[in-house]
Amino acid sequence: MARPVAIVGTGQTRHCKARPDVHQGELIQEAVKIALLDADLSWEDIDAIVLTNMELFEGRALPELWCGEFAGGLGKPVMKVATGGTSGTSGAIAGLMQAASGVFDTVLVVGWEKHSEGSTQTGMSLTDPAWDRHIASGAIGNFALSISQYVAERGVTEEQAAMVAVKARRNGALNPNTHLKDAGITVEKVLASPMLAEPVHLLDMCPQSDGAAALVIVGGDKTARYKNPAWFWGSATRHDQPYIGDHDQRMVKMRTLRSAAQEVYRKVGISNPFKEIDIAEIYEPVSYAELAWYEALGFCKEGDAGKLIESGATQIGGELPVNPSGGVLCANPVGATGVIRVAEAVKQLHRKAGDYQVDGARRALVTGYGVYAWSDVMFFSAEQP
Amino acid sequence: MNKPSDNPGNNPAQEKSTEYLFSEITMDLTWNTDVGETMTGFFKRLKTERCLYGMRCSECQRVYLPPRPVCGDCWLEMNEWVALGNQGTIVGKTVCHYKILDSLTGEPRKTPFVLGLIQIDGAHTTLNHFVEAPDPALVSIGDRVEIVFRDALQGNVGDIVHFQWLGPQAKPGQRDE
Repeated sequence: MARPVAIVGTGQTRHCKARPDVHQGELIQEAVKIALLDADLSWEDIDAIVLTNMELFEGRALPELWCGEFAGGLGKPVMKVATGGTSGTSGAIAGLMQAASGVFDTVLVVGWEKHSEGSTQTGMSLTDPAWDRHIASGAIGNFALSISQYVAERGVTEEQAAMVAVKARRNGALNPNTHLKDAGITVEKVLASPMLAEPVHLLDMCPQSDGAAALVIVGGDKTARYKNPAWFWGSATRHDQPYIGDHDQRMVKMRTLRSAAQEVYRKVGISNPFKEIDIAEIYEPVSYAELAWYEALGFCKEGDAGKLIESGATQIGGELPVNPSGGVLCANPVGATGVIRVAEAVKQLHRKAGDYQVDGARRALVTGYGVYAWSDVMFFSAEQP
Repeated sequence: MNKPSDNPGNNPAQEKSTEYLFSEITMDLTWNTDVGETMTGFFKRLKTERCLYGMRCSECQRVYLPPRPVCGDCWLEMNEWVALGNQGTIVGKTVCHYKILDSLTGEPRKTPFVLGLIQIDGAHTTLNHFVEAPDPALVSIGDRVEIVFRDALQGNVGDIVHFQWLGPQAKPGQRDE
């Protein structure tokens, strides 16, 4: 990178099923105001803005036109990043690179989604009309097919997957911003929830949420006044072939995430991710995905993900807490979700994570996921590169 | 709309400061997406030969279904058409219990139904499709299926109606007995 950059402020709405009291612009305004307050900056301090939103979910085109001014964008360069589930992490990477390049000193990244306004299954099903749209089954059926391969290959059990959902909702109960919270959830309750597509139960899946999240990025001299900036050390992005059937053993191999993680580990000098990372905020839209991502990210050996969740090592207080915020399983406003992953990792380094603060968190990993074909991996540290 | 049914919307009689208005819009529009040169060739072959074709990469030898003019892995152009079989193997399977809309009728599909990830003989890629079987519980990874085409082919992807379950694949060692 041309020069060091850090995230010095984060802001989030209270994510929930529906926010009928605000329109999209008013929703992001809430997150932006909190982020600016957190960074002790005002609207005029922002040089450039990156927006992230999957507009087809709301059916309202050109969100950068309608919503730019609610992020303070008037008279400034505003751009939009929309790459499915990775929108938020890719937008954050874009903002970090803008600041690292020296072109801008202070960049605001804002992601949001209002799933309550549209039809999420329709948005998920707008695939190639010539080939796979007529058999599109939305996210759940696709996940279930991938999971059937992962289960056949690795032998993970429904109970081990349910333990991921339990960890997420118990962590979520500590997070005032997240959508689903259940301090009393048990493996039995997950397994007793309705079967959506075998072996995926309702409580194995993420919700559809309304919510927004914002990040304040600074570079150069602007970092000097902050006591504990979350320094950006590096990132990697991978895109893959377009059709979901193109990816051999997609959840088992997950080559985009695996390859991006290896590049980031090499860039930042990590040889044993499980030992050298203090906290991870990863994009797990379904419980089984978290297990598969443990393997792809090298948190355990291939096939040991079930044992890793059973060991408790990924809980708060464990050796490598994964998604102490509750993760995507607790809140999924898609365009904001990757921004939330970054914000939650940064909050840990800022020691502002409240009841789910991980003691001694100094090195954080973030991932973004979009239908196997896209992966982002990012690394932040309390230490300046 | 996902709004609560008791939301008053723009009904002034129920207007309260804590209840917010929304605009409801239903769109019935048509898109005409050009399928391109390669898929035009694919659908014309399907209609005249009742057969699916893939595209083979001269470098990695991978056969792509649907065919496309570039091998993403090798960054190479492809032009070798390969006739595929009318059967395949289930490599992933789920039984769906949630309601999704049938794109042909607009009605929710009857549940439960079997969704398979199918590798057609001769192709290296897979596709999702519906699997018809006497009992969803019978269907397993490794089982064989056959394409059921519609009687009067139209030269589009709807020509594949579903896949018929043929039963379990012979286990290794059994085939020679």
